[in-house]
Amino acid sequence: MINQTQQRCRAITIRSLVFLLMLITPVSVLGAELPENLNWISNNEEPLFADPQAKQGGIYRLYIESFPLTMRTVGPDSNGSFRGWLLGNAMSLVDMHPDTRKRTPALATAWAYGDDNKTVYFKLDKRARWSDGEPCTAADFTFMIEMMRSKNITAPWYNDFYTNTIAGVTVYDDYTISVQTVTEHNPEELIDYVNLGPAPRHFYNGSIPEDYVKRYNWRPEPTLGPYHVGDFKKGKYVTLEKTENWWGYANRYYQHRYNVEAIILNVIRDNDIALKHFHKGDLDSFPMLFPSLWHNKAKGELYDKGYIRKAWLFNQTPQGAGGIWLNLNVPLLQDINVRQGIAHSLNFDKMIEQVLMGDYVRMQNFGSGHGKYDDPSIRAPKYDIEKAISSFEAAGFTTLGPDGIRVNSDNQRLSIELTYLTAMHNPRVVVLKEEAKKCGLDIELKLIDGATGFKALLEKNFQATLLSMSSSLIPHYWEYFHSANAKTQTNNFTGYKDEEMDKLIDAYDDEFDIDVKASLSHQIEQKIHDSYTVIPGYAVPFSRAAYWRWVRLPENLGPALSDDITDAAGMGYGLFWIDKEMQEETHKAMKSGKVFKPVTTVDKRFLDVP
Amino acid sequence: MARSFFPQMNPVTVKKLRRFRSIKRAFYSALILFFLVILSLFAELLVNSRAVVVWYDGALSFPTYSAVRTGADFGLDYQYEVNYRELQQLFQKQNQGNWLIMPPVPYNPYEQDFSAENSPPHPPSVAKKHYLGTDVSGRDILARLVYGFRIAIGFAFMTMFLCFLIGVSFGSMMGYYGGRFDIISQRFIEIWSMVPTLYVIMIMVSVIRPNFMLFVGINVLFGWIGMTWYMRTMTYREKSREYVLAAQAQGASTFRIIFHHILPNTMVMIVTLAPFAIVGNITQLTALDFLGLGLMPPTPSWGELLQQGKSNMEAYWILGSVVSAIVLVLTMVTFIGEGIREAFDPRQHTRYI
Repeated sequence: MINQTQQRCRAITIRSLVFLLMLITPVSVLGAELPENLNWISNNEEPLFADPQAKQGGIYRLYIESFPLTMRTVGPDSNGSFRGWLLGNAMSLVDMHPDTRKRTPALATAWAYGDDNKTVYFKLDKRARWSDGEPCTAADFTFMIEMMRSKNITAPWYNDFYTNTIAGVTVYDDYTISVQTVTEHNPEELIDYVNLGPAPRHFYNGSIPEDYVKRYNWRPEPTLGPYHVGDFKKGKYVTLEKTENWWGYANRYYQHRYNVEAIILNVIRDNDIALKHFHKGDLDSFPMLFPSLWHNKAKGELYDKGYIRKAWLFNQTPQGAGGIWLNLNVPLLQDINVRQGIAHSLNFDKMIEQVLMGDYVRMQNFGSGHGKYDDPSIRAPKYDIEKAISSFEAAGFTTLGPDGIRVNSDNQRLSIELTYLTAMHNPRVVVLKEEAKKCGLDIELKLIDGATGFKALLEKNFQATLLSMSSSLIPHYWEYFHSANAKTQTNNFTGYKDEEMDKLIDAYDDEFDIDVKASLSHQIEQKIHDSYTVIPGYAVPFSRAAYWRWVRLPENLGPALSDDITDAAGMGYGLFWIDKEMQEETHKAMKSGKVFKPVTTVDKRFLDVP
Repeated sequence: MARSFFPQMNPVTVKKLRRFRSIKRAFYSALILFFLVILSLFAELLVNSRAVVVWYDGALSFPTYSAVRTGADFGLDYQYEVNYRELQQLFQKQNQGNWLIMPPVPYNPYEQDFSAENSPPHPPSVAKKHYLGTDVSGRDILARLVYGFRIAIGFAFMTMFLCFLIGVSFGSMMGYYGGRFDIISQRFIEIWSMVPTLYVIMIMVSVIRPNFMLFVGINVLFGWIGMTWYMRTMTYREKSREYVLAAQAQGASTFRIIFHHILPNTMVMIVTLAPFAIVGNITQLTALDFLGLGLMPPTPSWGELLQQGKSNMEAYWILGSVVSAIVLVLTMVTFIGEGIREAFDPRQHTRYI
């Protein structure tokens, strides 16, 4: 949901006059001429990251918390957590190399940038086959555009994006296409926008029916990826089956990956019970992101005897802006001194140290992991009682009330309401509340669950909130800080409005030179930092899991961008495999009481690299 | 002896009370529970991070109910509330004649104790005075149990009182007036009682995130119905008796007849149902808190502790404490209810097996 909102905002940016022109332009022009002198890129020499020792076969058992409401990836109810499994198998034109971050071939074997900063040409992989055996051709790409523009899919965001951001797909022959955007972009962003995935034209008989939402609710599309949805029983389980003779193994980057024959996703509605199932051996692996899981629950005989192993990989995934967002529409928070005081009253370090057991990392900036776009010299405001008090005093909150909370001369208490979205964060916000008291600041906690809570934030109906946004490799500022968004139903949660900032953001969005863009990004970050509107919270730059010893991981656990080393929460890089001999050996050992060496791997290769 | 205790009471009631006293488990449960409720009213003196008495620089003070005193007030270098536990140690070390007395459990239900080396939850420790250990946020479980008990009992009594007030008044009026009023009210109540209470409460709570009084209000909104049926029938029966006719003949107002003449004769129903209503309300609050749909965190609550216990089975002291507390309190209230029912039962020789 957060993601979609973000994307929506991005799409609105690019709204332009070309829109009208586009509606009358046909989607595809067969027989169009391919420009000459194109510089084809295929990046086929990047290092491989899969483990050649991986063995094929085996069944991988995982759990999902709720059964998906649909097997569609667009339309009503499609934006649930199960979508990750579907999208992970819906391939797009190019991949990103998880170590070098270069683009690598996926459905396209080669691609070339046009001169107009709007067009990218692709040569499609002729070997690509849908999971039902049909070949994937240019027609599937034009059909996808048709589908995404259709009112019948009931997905206005997609209708808009594939009209106002993506200008269209041009077909040169069955296996050569180009994709155009409406406005110009620098190459890095352009390839992001045009990196589309096709839709199986044959499956929909060439058109999207009016009753698409209903008719295809439980009819999963064939896929181009390694797995497709197989058998499922509503409310109980979904099986992802490996596509027979998957065409992707012809691509060197896919070799030794996606090794298991099938993935069974059992519905277990409670995480605690799921953990019991895992310890019983009903599940093969279990994600262990939460400190209490990793430190307190993932221990005992099964671990000590080496039957279950643990692995922790610090990665370099981009971290979205997260922390405390202050709403500038609240009179009290319009005073920068109050905001500065609040920034120094928030003891994130203690929260991380005590509640998160020191595992998480204090975020220093508005997001992290954006490479050169991040200014490493910006540091988050530290918890500092004296600085906080002097700021509060500057704001007029000079006296301490009878309850230990500061008051100003109008007898107004220094009290803010902190809205947060999940009960899981209770212990975290409680630390902030207790520590802020020492600065004379009262934080009233207000838990509003999930979607209702996020709605309140979009309506700017909050004072302060603890919120983490997802992020892409290039930071986006327009949606969060441009005055055009200082209204309800946008991601400018703080209601930030500043002319200078608008200029910076516009310049940043229009910039084609990557270095200039990065320096603009630094200036924007500095302004955000100085305004004390978003106080950086914590980042979780790692992936970790516990798994039975027959689940094997590559030696160095995974590449820099891997955010799920055992692919337990969605399709990841598929680097693990199941060793059937070890499975049998383990079962026997558990009966006979044989003990193995306990294994806990922690990989910090990527930790200190900015 | 009972007569001297209850000089104004009618002999039948005295007899009933005597009979209640003779039912040992009910009587002792009532005593213990009464004692606990009284104690919990003064919980700030027994379970608190503030000292009960402080003697500092020749002056005596009682910080429990007074305004916050900062570290600076005691010559320390910080401006927030003084940590009395540390202050106590400091006084002992300085040996300047200053002293203070801490409550037996020197923690309040909100503060987090992160002083131990590993992270919470911490097992029970007499040395640290965490007699039942700490929860996952490092808060003292005993403190949270005590304050949670006070909130639960307060909630239960208040909800019961309001439910009964509305239910009894409405039910009595239905029974007394009869006719069209009765018919219309009956239909209304039938419709109202068809509302799936728990779901509606859950939805309302998740949308408006109420404070304590609003939460009571929401529960009363659906809780008053049950009582109306009983009161309607009872009043209907009493209405045709001679004493009501006599009161009417003397020109007593309707209000007076219902509440002064009829109500005392239907009181049995109220008294008998009350303890079970309390049990129901405590369970309701705990269940909603367990689901995260109760009172706003960080309000101390049994349901929230239960939830923590469920998620952290290996921290046995969390689940152990809260389950024992719930079982004990609910059993005692049930014993009391049973005792009252038996004591007020006109058939002397009925036995409940």
